[in-house]
Amino acid sequence: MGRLLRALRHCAREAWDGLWRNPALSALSAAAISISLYVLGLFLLLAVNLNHFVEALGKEMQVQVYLKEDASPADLKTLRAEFESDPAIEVVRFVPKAEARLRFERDFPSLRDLPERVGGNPFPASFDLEIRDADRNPEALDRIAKSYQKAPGVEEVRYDRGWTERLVGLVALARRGGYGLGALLAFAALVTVGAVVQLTVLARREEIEIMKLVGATAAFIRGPFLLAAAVQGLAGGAVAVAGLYVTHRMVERTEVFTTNPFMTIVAGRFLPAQASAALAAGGAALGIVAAILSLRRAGTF
Amino acid sequence: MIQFFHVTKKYQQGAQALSDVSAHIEKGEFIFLTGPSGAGKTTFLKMIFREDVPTSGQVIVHNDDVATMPARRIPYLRRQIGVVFQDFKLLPRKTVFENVAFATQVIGLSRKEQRIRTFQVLEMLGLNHRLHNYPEQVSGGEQQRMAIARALVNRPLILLADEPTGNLDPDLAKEIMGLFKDINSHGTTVIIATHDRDLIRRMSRRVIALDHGRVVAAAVA
Repeated sequence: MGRLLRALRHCAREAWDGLWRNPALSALSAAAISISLYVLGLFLLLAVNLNHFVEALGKEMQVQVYLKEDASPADLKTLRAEFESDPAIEVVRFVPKAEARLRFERDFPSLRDLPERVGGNPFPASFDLEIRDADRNPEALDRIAKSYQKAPGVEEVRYDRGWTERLVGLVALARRGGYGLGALLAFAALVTVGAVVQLTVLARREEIEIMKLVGATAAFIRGPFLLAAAVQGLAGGAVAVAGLYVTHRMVERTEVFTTNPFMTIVAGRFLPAQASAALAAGGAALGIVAAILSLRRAGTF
Repeated sequence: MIQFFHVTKKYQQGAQALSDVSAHIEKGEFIFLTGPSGAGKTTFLKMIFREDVPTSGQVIVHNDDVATMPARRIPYLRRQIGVVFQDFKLLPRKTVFENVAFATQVIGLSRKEQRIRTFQVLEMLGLNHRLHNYPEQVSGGEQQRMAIARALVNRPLILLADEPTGNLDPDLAKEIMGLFKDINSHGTTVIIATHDRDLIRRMSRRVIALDHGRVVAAAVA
């Protein structure tokens, strides 16, 4: 136990000395990690906000089942029973012809005399179906639409598929863009951190050689390098998260943001705490991976 | 304790450092390894602490085949072997004390134990007035003794020294050899590579003579 504690203390002390032996290089490593995570974070921020918007929109998303003019009361009864037993459907609401017309008149006041002119009430009665959260996606909606399309008394099943797909696509794109660009920058950070580690190893080549010759274990030699890289990565990750938060707050205060509702959609909320923690932890992981690869190349493994 | 069985070492450029060398060294022995420059003395020593591995043949240290030993066990082999390098391998930015204490730190001794052992060995080698000097501030003989102190500080079972008197005047050389004899009398196996024939003659110990990588003589000089 004492031995392990001593080894850990040695590791911490050496890592700390290593970090301060060349502060500029340490800062360079941390900055490289920070930049890659900041950019990744920006895209994640966009994705989080868009995703939230999609969810909010989805709450209003309904499937409308328009009925034939000649649908019989028995048809309506059968349909209602079927909807109510469908686990994907949360709320079933029947909208009679008269209500459909009222709704039109309310939504489009300037066209309120249109129904009169075309002769009577052209609006069909319908069932409005509210879909359960888990099934608010294009595939599930498609399935629901298909299963009732051919039911007796049904004229047409409609839902706004285009919108949903485009939004879900946009979220995926933001996420993929973030991952792609983030990966690219993470690779650049890996190379930078790796080069810094290699420089440090090179500067201490003699010392490391002697350590090996007098019987230092590999862990004893590498530990300080790995710990220093992890600390740099964690610091870089924390700076990235702080930078993202500042960016978010600044965007929130701009005039464009307060006057343009679209901005609320793309930047209204910050990353959840787990995502922020994951970014910082990702920085540490990036540092460690870079150090391992670089120590391996420098021949200390 | 140390056994060489038909050890051959070829380097990639085609040079043959050792060819078919067999030797047995008992625990507690004092051995001279001799021969002209390039005879394979340094390679022979490097095989023992696994700084080099044979192309063919076997090197056994403490009943372990050194060449096939897993990498994680190498540090523990080396902790039993003190090596005095021909070029000393001292760290220029560490003091005399730090250079020696470094070896005790690496094997995980407590701070207190590190200090005790380092002071002891530096006193034994007459370096206790040089503790805070840097290698470049001390004489060649003192650097030599620093290297020996570092090799001894972990109380090795085997001491290897490569030309330890190479750049010392005869008086100092004699003093250092006396020290090795002392260490040997406490049970440490000592192997000294040297081409200094006078030294060997004076000491009258077992000699393994190498030439062009072959054992040409093994006798008490």
